[in-house]
Amino acid sequence: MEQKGIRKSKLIVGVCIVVVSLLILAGTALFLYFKLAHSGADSTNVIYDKKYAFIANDSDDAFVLDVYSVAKEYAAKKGAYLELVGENLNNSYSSHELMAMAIASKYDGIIVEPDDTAEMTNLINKAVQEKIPVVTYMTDDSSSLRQCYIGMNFYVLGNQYGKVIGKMGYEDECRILVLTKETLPDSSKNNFYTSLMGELSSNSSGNVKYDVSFSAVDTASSFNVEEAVRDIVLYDDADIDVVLCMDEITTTSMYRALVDYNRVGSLEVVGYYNSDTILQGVERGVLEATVSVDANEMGVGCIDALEEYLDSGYVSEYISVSVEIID
Amino acid sequence: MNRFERRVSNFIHKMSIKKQLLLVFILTAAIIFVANLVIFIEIDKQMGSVDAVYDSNEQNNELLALVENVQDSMTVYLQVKSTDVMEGYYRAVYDLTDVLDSMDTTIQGNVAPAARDDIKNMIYAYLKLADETIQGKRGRNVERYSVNYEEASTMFLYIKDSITSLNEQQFRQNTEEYSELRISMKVLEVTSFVALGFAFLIGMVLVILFTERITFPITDLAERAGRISGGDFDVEIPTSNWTDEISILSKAFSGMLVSIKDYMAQEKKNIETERDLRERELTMEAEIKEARLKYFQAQINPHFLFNTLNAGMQLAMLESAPRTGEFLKNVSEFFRYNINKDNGGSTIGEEVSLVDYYVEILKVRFGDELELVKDVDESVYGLYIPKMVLQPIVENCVNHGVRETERKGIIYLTIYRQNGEVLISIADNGVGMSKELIDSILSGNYVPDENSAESNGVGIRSVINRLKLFYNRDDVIEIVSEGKDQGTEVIIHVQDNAG
Repeated sequence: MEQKGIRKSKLIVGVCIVVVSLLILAGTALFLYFKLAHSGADSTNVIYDKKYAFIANDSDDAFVLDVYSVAKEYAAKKGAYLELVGENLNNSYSSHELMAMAIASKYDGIIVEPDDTAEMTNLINKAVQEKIPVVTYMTDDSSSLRQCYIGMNFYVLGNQYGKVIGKMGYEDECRILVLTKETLPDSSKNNFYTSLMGELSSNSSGNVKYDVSFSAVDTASSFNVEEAVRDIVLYDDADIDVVLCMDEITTTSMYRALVDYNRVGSLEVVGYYNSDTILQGVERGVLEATVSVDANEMGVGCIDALEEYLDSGYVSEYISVSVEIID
Repeated sequence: MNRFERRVSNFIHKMSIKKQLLLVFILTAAIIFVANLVIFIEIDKQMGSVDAVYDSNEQNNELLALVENVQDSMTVYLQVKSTDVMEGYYRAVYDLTDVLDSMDTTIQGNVAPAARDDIKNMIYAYLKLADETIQGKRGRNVERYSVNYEEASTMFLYIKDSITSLNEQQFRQNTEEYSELRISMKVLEVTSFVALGFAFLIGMVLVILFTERITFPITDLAERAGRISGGDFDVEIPTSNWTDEISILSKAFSGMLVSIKDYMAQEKKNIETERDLRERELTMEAEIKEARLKYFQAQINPHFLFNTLNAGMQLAMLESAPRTGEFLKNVSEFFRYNINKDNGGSTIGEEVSLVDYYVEILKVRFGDELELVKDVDESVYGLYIPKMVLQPIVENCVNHGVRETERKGIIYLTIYRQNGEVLISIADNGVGMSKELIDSILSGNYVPDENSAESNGVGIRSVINRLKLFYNRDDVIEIVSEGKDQGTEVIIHVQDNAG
């Protein structure tokens, strides 16, 4: 009887060991399955229905990159893959070359920042002819066959800058230098100038003489930007009072130059975009103010425009993005 | 759980030990096999991801080589414009399109998802331009082919850059993933070691449990067998309705134990019977010896007695006294019987003759006062009975029955067959016997005066004892008396051999 009891307890212990070991084995298998499955190269394998191309004139521009990342994330939700064309290539290509590549690669849609050249217009037209919808952002190429433009209204922008300058309280004369991208079309410049001057004259008593000049900066190379900004800050031949920057790179460069060459206070700069560095400049009083363009709005707008066109065949030709002053 | 356990136990024990051992082996092997399988599948998966990377790089390189081939043959054709070169060009285009058609361009993954699709489309665009170039050259349209050639060459550079960039990106990604892979492999190593360890543990426990199930009944049986060989036959052998070899052995052992017990009981009974028989034989021998001793005591040189009796007989003849002669002859015969046939048994016929001699002798004394009435079935004369049985009874009838009455004494000797037995009845018309006396005689408690002058020395007690021993039954003799003066009848039941 006692022996039977011992046998029974032995059996129970044995069965327990077997069960526990089996559980551990199963646990190990599950652990392996999940641990290793998630470390695999293709674990985040999302399949996209479409591919869109995003072409930037200047892939260093923080604003443009913000727009791209917002647009990419939004596109993914819509089942589309948005590629910053040229990003993964070893060689650097001009936006024209990238555009040509995008057309040859048969993207389902192209988001491009035009540079006001006839070649770009042709490329846009070629894409459209090959049934690839094109959305322009930042600057427009209204002469092309592009489906839609999404960006700030330069008239509104001129208006906003005018308000900032007005607050500076110049009494007799004010020399203003507007630093634009080389690619900015003349039409945009004209709009900007008209609204800026309109705002300044309506705000001032009429005694102040505003002298506005434009200077195009080659933003394709950060070295060029640095050079141009240095010239302005260091050898201020024209005795400039206010500098209006029209892009993120120039603004950042200007902020650094003001500090480096000790021109804080003697040269008033109004920046563009609200990157962390620029906001810091505004906070410290190095930059007078900055305009904030909503990168989210622009990024989402680009994708929505393409989707809408592909879905319905129609889309608004012009979508405006709001602009705000931060000072 | 308990029911389940019983079911499993029954299932296992209905199998032979060979099958049980096979089951243990298969179970442990299966567990280790499954553990290994899981590990190998994981290793395979890991290796697969590494392989995929290299496969993809190889495909990319192959594609690039094919595009370069087209570009080269196109360039050569523009320079040479020979049919062979054109053929080479078309072959290159064919090879390239063949690869392109089977190219998977799903937009997926986290390394340049659209790159392969881009490349494929660019190559198609390139091929279109190359074709235009070739057609231009064939049509000697210099402007057409030079423009197209330039565009095709630019496209070729884009393609080349795209492919090499993709390769580099994948390689970069792989390098990043390689460290992860290394960690994974390390994890795999440890976990597989643990898994195999536990699989081994399970196997060992199963083997121990199963072999114990097999060996326990054997050791248990051996222990019980040891107790049996030590003389304890009351050991219980556990039996079950299982059909494995151990259970069969247990059943056989149990059966053997029962047989041994039966055999021993039978043997004991036989020994007891034999001992009983031997005892009776010894007692009988002792009785006979005692009887013989009595005779010897009674004898006074029998030869002298016979000679004397014969001399007397002759004298009686000479003197013409035939009755005296007859008397002496009877006496002589009576004693001869006692002397010659003194051992073992005799036949009924001889016993009856002895009674005849005895009564004739007595008649000399008692004259007509005594009569023997015989009614005998002579066919039983050859039947053996113990010696000196009838005469002592007749003697008792005369001495204690007939002599004490005034009337004529009659002795009835009747021998007949009845119900497979031979009944010898000796009756008298004497004084009869009381019930107590009969019981006392039959139980052997009665002690008569056997040395009286009237007796030949063989008492009724000896007769009864010898009859009981000889026939091994207590009711071999019965004495019947109706009461005083009603006479007495002694009946002996003799087994009839003929019957």
